[in-house]
Amino acid sequence: MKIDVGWRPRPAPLSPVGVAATGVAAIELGLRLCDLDPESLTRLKGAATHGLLILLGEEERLPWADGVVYLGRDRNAPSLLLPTTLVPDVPIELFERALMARVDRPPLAVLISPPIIAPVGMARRVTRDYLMRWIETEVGARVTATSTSEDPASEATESLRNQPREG
Amino acid sequence: MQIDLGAASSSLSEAISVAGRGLVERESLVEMIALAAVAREHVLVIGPPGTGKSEAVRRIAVATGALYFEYLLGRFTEPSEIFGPVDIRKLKEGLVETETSGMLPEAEVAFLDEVFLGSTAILNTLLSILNERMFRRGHTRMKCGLRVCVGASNTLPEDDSLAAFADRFLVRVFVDPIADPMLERLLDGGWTLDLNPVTARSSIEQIDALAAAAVEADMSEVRPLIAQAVRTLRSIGIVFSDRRAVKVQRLVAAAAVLAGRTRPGEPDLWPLIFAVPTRDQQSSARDALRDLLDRSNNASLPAAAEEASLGRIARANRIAAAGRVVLADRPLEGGPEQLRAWRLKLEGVAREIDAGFTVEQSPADLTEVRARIVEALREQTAPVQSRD
Repeated sequence: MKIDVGWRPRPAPLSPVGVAATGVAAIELGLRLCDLDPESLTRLKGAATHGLLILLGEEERLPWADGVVYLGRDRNAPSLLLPTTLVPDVPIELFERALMARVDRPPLAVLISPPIIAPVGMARRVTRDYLMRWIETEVGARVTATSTSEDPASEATESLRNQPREG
Repeated sequence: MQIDLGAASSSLSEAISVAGRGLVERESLVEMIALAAVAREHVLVIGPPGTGKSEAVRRIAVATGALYFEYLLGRFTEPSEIFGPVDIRKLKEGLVETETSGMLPEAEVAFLDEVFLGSTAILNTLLSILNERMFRRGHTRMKCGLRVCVGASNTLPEDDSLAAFADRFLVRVFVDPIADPMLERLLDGGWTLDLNPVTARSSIEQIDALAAAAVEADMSEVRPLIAQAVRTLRSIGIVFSDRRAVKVQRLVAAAAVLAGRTRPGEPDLWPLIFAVPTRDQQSSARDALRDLLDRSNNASLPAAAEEASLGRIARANRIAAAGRVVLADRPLEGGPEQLRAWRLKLEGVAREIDAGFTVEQSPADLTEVRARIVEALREQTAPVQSRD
């Protein structure tokens, strides 16, 4: 049985514990991260795949770029990272249970547009070297791609590997 | 001399703003002290030592040009340390009178730390000052010009007699030590406090004019809403005494006057939360009254209105005001580090906007501030996409 889930504004927003971006906004977010000092980078954990970048950290440490989505934890669905301003129009405990039944690797980041469910439990410390490589790959893919039929990262994520910094 | 209420409200708003500058997460406390002064009520601040309570009171007292008295009470504090020594000359004449110069009876704003440690003699004399603005001791009978007394304590008293004394403090503000993520802001703010001393931006005369206007406010529209709110609170087990219910009207009226309204309405109900006696009950009250308080709005007291109501409009106003301040604070001189720091502040505001509001929810003011922030950031970086 399939149930369509709609979203409505929250009466009060969740406190952000993460930020996610897709497409061009993800590249902008990655570029912004590269401007941060090393100490600030160490305060963030990240997970990325083609067209998707997710960062976790304290609210004050989360970077901003135009088009990002901030994620927070609803106390009634602690395994999910949801858009801070929206709540599903189905009982959230059931929503969490349904998602966990499909992807049992909490926490799960839930994005709405595009619709993405991404496990981020393997998020790792962000390094500038890996960010640059990821950005280069993303920019290259956007330049050469004419269209894509794949959903950028509906289930799989690739953790930012903890590479030693050069120099 | 006739005082223009609009000018008085603007001045007090400015005083609140400068008093809160450099303090972290104490803006709400500063605003509530100012509100209580206009409402002629008193404030009880509950929180551990070293959480900026006295600094907040001191700064708003200076910013409003008030005569200020501050004391840390202990179990052995003598009444003369608070109210003044016995006048020796009068004593020789057989009169027990108090020399009050520079002491609490002559203060316009007072801060009493560890207020519940005071002796029975001190608390009984204080009761008269708090309730009636009258100092009575021995042969001394003196009208006090106290606008607001702020008492502080680590915890609420459990003793019944002290609880009765505590009930004279209508406004309750609970403070915690600053959370870890805010420590850098605390260190930065604390370091610059002495470098940016507070100067008077308002006056007691202006506060008095606002207080007089609050007494004249037309409460006909808001009174049924207050009654509805009190019924709701009592229905969920929150003890809201008849005295509190009556007195909270003063806070509502004062909030309306500071917002430029002569007829208090739904946007002015939010001080009710600060009149709820305990922290847990305040939290329950916010949930229970969420719909009623959703339209809460006060440009002079944005942090307190938002904290009380968790309302969207109050939150938007506060963030928009903060955004305008940061935008206006662009460093004209200085190098890349100053610009970098400014950029981080702008991004912080943008983050609060995007994390707190959908595009559809964002009021026009806030949307406009966001657009200005995006434009300012764009000037420093590569072009970015529109959010829409």
